[in-house]
Amino acid sequence: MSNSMFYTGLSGLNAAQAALVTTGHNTANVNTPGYSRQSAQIASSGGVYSPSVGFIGNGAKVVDVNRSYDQYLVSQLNQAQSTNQSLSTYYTQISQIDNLLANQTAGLAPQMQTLFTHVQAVANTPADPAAREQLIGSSQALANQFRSMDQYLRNLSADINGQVAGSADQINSYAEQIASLNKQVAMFHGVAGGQAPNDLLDQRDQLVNDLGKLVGIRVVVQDGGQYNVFMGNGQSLALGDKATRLVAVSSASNPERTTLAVVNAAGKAVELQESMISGGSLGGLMQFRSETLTTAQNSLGRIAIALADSFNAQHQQGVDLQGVLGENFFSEASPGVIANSKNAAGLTVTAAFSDTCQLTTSDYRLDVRADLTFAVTRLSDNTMISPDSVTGAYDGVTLTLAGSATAGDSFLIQPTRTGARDLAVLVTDPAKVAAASPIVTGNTFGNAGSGKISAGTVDASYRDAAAPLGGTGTVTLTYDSASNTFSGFPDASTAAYTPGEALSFNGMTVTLSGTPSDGDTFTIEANTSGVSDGRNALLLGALQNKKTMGGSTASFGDAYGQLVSTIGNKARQLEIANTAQTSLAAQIRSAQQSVSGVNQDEETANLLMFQQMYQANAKVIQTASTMFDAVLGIR
Amino acid sequence: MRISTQSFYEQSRTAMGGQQSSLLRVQQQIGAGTKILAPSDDPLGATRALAVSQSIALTAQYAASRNQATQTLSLEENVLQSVTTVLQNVKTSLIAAGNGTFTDTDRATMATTLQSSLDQLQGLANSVDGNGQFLFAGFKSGSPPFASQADGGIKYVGDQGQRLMQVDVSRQMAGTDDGRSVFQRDGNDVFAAIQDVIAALNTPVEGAGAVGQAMVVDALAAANRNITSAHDNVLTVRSSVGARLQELDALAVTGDSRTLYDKSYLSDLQDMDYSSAIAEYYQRQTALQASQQTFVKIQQIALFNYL
Repeated sequence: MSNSMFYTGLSGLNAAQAALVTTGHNTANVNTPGYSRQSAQIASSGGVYSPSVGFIGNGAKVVDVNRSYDQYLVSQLNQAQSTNQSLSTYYTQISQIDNLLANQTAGLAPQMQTLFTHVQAVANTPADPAAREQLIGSSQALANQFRSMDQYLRNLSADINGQVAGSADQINSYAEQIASLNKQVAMFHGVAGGQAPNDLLDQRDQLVNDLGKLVGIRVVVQDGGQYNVFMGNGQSLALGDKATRLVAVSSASNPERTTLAVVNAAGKAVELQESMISGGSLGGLMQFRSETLTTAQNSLGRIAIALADSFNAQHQQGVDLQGVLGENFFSEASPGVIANSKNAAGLTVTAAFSDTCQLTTSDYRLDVRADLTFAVTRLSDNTMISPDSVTGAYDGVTLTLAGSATAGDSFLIQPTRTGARDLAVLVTDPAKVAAASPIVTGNTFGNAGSGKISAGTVDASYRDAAAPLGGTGTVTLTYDSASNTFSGFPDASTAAYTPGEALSFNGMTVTLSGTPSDGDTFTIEANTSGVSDGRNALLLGALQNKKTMGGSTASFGDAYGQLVSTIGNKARQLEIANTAQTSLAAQIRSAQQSVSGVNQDEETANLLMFQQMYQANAKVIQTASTMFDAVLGIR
Repeated sequence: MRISTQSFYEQSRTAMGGQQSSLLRVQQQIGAGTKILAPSDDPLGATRALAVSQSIALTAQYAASRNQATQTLSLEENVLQSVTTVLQNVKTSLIAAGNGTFTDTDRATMATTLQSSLDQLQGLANSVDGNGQFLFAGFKSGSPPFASQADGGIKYVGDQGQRLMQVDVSRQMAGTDDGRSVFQRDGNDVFAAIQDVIAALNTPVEGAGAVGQAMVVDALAAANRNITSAHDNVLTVRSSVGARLQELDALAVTGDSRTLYDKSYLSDLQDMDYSSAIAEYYQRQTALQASQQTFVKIQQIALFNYL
């Protein structure tokens, strides 16, 4: 009888010891990430039947050590943290552009304003070399600003490439560790008496959580407790004890972009569609890159192209201090075309601007379909677009195809991507600023009538005309009262006189008015030595408020405002979403921790409880010993 | 609800971190004096601020053009005033030269006086502006517009270009007038008129009797007609210059009030309201201090302390 009491006491002692060790384990892991608190499950060892007495209990035993774990909360938490990571990464990235655009003193808007202020200063005092010098200086500063902003965005893009490459290694490492833990868990699953290897399970859950913060994943629990981990629409990362290997590659459609590829059984890297990668910091990066970064680069590029194009066109219609027609003031980018590296090498595509006013901030893709027809898709809204019925251009870009097409060929067209990078000032000599108009008009001294001739304007075709003012460089229009006509045009034609009606020839337009007398003459001649003529500078200055962009809906300033507004709104929206998601994740985390987390006070209380249990059971053994001694003491 | 020890520290950290960053934000706003540190703070406001800043800059740009125009027009006005005086002197001389008792020598003396007025007039017509550009040359301002010819005549070699300046959104104004429209309007050349009468006065007529006398009278009458007409023309140009100067003043007034309006709008859009910002600063500071204090207090409470 007292023999069994020894064992009963001993069983209690053992149970208390196991519980104390477990409490100690919990206390030791109070700050271990992913640790779930454990508790020793103590059960009664049952009783021994004693005839006429009944069952006499014979102590306690530890049947299992449980971890406090809620699969539902854990997967909720993974999901919430993955989304949170995606949003916060996107927000961190877009904040950099947000801050870039924030600078009101050295930003693009004030530099652009300075340029036009100086254009007007040239218009006011065209003969002043200092004003011309200033104009060149401020245009160079503006071009520098465009290039440096573009460089900043390019650096962001390069950073993202680096991060994508780094992510591939990290994902591989997590996937391998999960696969290896799967193997160990499966092993214990068969061997142990049905008890779970709690700490291995915690480790694996923590790896899944870490992986989820990197990229959005889905976990399917297989029989035997193994985790199968999938990314996006079903690309496996870990299946049982096998891990998939990812590598970072340059995208076939756009070598500037680093993306992920899966190494298949044959050891070949197969590029993953970017739509597969969502959630986690990597998903946030990819989304930022495709939605915001390219739009920002293209927006700046588009402004630079529109500015260069319209400024150049007007500058070419003026003459410089020497009376020579103006050259291109800015260098202008041309649209980029990137052939997919998987294309059959037959077809080549070249692109050119047909009308910079129609440009958008989107990139485009040209696909060769199975029937060898072509489809052009605008990537911003993923819409197939048809060419303009008159010009044949796609949103202001003309595509020229040469060679033989193969079904499946595709080309990425980036009309505006390099616009800001390629903006530079070509005119460096102040005298070469074409501030003046190429023609000057006058009525001849001695005219008897009151006829007047307007100052005259030129258009782009003036430059193309071989000798717009005829051989002598002066057109003298003579009025004949009998026929009410003017003669003397370079092509020897005559024109009927209607006062106030514009007469256009060889790219020039003049208006004659008043009552000329017979034989009165009016001259239109090349504007040589017209150093105080700022008419073309006035026209250049007018470009500031002209709607030269977005299909004649936006000025340069409007387009820049659109960029600021787009980025500002998106950043704000992300900030709000990120804050909300952070608090959601924190709530789930505290619910999960409420189940699985270690509370130090609780463990301290347990420590005391099991300590006393240990002491009490020792007392039982002592009592048994005393009883035994009592029996021995019977003489 | 069970609170895990990790959760307690995490939540305290998050709370203090959040309060610290909002405190820093208010501090940055106060430091920069603006509500909008980045476009995301107020996307609409930031975009409007861009447009309003451009409007302010444009108005300043037009003001600069108005200053330039005012400068050249005032200069022109001064020159034209002198031209008016010279032409009046010429007219006075012409009347004096009509005196019937004048001898050939008297007339020659008169011719010399007129020659000096002519030189003076030519000098005025070849006036330069502050940048050394000839005021009445049209676009060809690099060389004197009224050049003396080999035959002694004075010819206008400028052009009829109008130097326009953008003095307001939709107003371009000529900052000067060309020499043709000032000195040679409607085929009436003031220089030729004076030169003609000088030639007539220098021609001896004492031996020619009544015929000679009549020639002098005719020449003086013709000259008087032409100079009067030229004088009227200069007065017309002067009044046009005066009207332009007046218009510039009026435009400056509207420009200034536009700037004032824009600046106050811009200030509404982005400037920090200091009193509310400082109130917010203290509010956030108090909140942070409160979390810090509660953290310190709560983390001190542990069962161990009572064992």
